[in-house]
Amino acid sequence: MFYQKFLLPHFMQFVGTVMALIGIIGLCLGIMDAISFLCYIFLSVGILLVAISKEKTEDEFITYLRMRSIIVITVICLIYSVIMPIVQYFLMRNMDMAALGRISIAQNFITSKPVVVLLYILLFKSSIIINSKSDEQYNQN
Amino acid sequence: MNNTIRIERAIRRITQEELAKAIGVSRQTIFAIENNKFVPSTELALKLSAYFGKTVNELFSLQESV
Repeated sequence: MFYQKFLLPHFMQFVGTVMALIGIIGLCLGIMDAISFLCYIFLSVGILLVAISKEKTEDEFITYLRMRSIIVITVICLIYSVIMPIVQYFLMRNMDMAALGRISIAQNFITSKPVVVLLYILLFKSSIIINSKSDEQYNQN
Repeated sequence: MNNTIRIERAIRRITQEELAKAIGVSRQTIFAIENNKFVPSTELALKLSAYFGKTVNELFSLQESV
C-alpha cells in the first residue's frame, strides 16, 4: 500500500505512549498554566504518534481494519456535529450559567482532536485484538 | 464467501502462525479469512492457492444469496 511509506516505524508507538502518559500525569497534577499547556501538547502529539505508526505486521487486513476505523470515526463525528447543535438548543434553554459552563467544558473535551484520534486508536486496536484469537486445536503439531 | 483454508491447514497440520509466515501476512489475516470476516485480495488468494497446491476455485466459493 502506497500510504505505508508515510507511516512512522513501529517503535514510535512506544514513544507516543510514553509521551501521552507524561502528558496525562502532568495534566492530572494540575501544575501551573504553562506546564499544563506543555502537557496537553505532549498528550496530543503522543496520541498522534501512536495513530500514525505502523503495526508490527502491516498487511492488507490491517489496512482494511485501519480504513474501517477511520470511516466509523468520521461518520460518528459527522453525526455528532449535526445532532449536537439541536440537542444543545433544547438542553440549554432553561439552564443557568454554571451548568452551561460545565456542558461547554465537556463538549470541548469530547470534540477535541486528541479525543477523536484516541477513539480511532481504540477502535483500531480493539479490531486487531478481536481478530487475534488463536486456533488452539490446530496448534498442536 | 466460503473457504476451505482451515480444512487444508488441518490436513497439513500447520498452525495459523506458520501459514501466515509462509504467505507473508499476519496471523490475524489468516484467522479473519478462515472465519469469513475478510475477503482476501486476488494476490493473497493466488498465494494461498500456490501454497496449498489447489486452485482458487477449490479454496474459495461464493455464498449462495438468500
